[in-house]
Amino acid sequence: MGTVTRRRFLRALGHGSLAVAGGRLLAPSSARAQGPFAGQTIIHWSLLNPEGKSLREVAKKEAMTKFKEKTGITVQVQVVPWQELGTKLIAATQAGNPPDCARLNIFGFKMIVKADGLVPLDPYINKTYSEAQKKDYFVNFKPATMVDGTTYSLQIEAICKALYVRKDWLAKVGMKAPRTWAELVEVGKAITGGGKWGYMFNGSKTQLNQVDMIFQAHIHGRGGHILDASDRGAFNDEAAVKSYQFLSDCVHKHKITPPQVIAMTYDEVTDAFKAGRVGMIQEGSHRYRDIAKAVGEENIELTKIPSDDPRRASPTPIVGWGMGIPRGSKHPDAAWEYIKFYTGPEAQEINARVAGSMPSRKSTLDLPYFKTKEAAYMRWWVDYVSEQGEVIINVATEAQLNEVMVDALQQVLNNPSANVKQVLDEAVKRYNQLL
Amino acid sequence: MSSAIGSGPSTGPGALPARLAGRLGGGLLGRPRGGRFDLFPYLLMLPGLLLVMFVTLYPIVFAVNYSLMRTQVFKQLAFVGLANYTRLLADPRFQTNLRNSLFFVLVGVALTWTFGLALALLLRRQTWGNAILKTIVLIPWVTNQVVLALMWKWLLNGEFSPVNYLLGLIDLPGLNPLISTVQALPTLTFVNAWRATGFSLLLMLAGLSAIPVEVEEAAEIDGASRWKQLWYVIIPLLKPISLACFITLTISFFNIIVLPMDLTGGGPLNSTEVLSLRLYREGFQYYNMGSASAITLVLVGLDLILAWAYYKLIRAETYYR
Repeated sequence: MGTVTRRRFLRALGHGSLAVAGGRLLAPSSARAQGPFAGQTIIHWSLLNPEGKSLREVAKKEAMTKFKEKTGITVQVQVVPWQELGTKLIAATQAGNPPDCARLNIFGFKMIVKADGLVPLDPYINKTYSEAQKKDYFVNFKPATMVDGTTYSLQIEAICKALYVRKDWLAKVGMKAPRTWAELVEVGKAITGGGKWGYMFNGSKTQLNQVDMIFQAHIHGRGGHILDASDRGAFNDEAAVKSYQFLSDCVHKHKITPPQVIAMTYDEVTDAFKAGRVGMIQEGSHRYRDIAKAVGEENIELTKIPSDDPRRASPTPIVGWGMGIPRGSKHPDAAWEYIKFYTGPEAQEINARVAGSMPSRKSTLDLPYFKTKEAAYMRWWVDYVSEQGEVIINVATEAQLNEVMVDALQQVLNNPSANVKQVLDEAVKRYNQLL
Repeated sequence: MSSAIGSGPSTGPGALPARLAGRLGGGLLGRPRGGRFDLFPYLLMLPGLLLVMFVTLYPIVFAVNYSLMRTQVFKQLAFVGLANYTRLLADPRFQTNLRNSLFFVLVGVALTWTFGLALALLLRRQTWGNAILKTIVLIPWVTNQVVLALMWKWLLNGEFSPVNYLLGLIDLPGLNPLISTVQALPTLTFVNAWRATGFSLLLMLAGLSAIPVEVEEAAEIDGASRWKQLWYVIIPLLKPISLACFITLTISFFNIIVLPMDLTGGGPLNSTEVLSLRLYREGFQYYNMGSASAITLVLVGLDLILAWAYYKLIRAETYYR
């Protein structure tokens, strides 16, 4: 080794700096990530497995990779079946071993809050978002995210309902998609036959929380109420009686619906549509791509849920997933970073582009992807939701409410001569006694 | 055995192990030594006993505690005494649940045992064909209940059933038992018995293999017909294993949730809602821990009563043990 001259020292210093800079450029972006939480790992409960093959799972993996690049936080996903997420979260918070962050569906949300399972997000929201950003949702999700003025969840996606109609079947009988329930019966009669049915809905208690979507569109669309202002049962009004009578008539009088619906779940109704056994069902935006794959996009006509008034459709009930921080989370600040990212435009665009999920943020809809032909159905839904979107009824006694309503439906379907008003009076009384 | 071990040398290198073994042996036989109660064996058992108590007694204490409380999710609000029990007993839905459970369990256990015994008699000879058939019968027992429920639901779905399609080909009316309040429970019971037949078959095969060939040969020589051999020789000799089968199946059937949940959802009109399904709903859908705990204890009580009844019935006529 020679002596260290000034020139040699400066050259070495220059090479060293270049090496460091080059190393940074070549290193994986996650290693470059800066931020107060870089290197932390959070545990996230989700129904989606990032290693899975479904479109929503592929989207999840892409979003998680982007999140790690941006923040340096590793997300370790623990997969929990969707119908058990709420239950397990309550048990885990009680046991003092919750995840850092969890998906929350609207149905179980209020029960989780009642069980003191979530931390308020307001301090994070106030610190992070401007007033305009706080309102940047294309529908008011507050009933799904707030309890007594406190926010416990942020909505990451919207699932909106519509009437899916087989366009090719309509063409065969020379009819248009129905705008009223009376037209639905006419279309149903025209397409029923040869093992095919006109209209189906789910009447089983197996996927209980999927039932009120049927009733909310029917009863609210006829101007009635499921619950009154104090959240007591009110589904024995004239609109509710008409709705139950209509569903019974579809089976017994019009014969456009198979009696089997009394034992059919939400998934089975969707499968029947995908299998070409039924021409009209109420279904969500989240399944559009799957259904399109099964029956061909050109054979689906999306139409607003009918009502009795041809000038105004029934409301589209909105469900979907939010995200929250369970009480006892070990890394709540890093979990908030994840929630912030997942409710931001980048992740919502990935979810829409890859999985066809409807975003929750209004500003996301300005991104180029939502102007494409592929996203046309989402724009249609956004218009419908903006006009007549209604977050699904969610009360802490949501399971009991659905159960009582399904029991009443099964009574009416099981006995065509049942006095619908009497059945609903008894059902409302039973529900109100549970409160 | 204990006396042999205990009579070892009292001094010298082997003294301590011998004394220890002696204490162990004496204790294990439960004999107080020299009029003194020997605590040592009980101390050895203590870790295992504590573990067993934790996993069995703790949940029962937890359930008893919650069943006497008014609750909000897991929070205990007030002591209500037996109010949860009296409310349940007065609830017509609970009475339906109880009737459904008793039918589901008693008829189900009888069917499963009968199917298992019949198949065991057919398949008891060791041949390749029988080995394959035994494996096939065992498949439903080891298959996920969700899969079984979906399969049967598809088979029995009135509108889309392949069975109905085949029946239609020969001009027979289709089946639609899952939408009938009368047929749904027997159907669910039958499906569950079919599922559990593999388990019953294994036990009955084990029981049959333990019956000495000479006994059956003697009966044959005495002129007993096949039916009389079965009724007077084989079934009585199978009583101990049948008791194990009855008790295991009873506990299993009382606690089943997935199959009824996925096959019928308890419907139509609660006609297939068994106690375990109601328990699941009270506990994990309504989060009504007070009622759920009360139902749990009713189930435990029913399990114990039936186990005792089986034991009494079978012990009364057991020919060998």
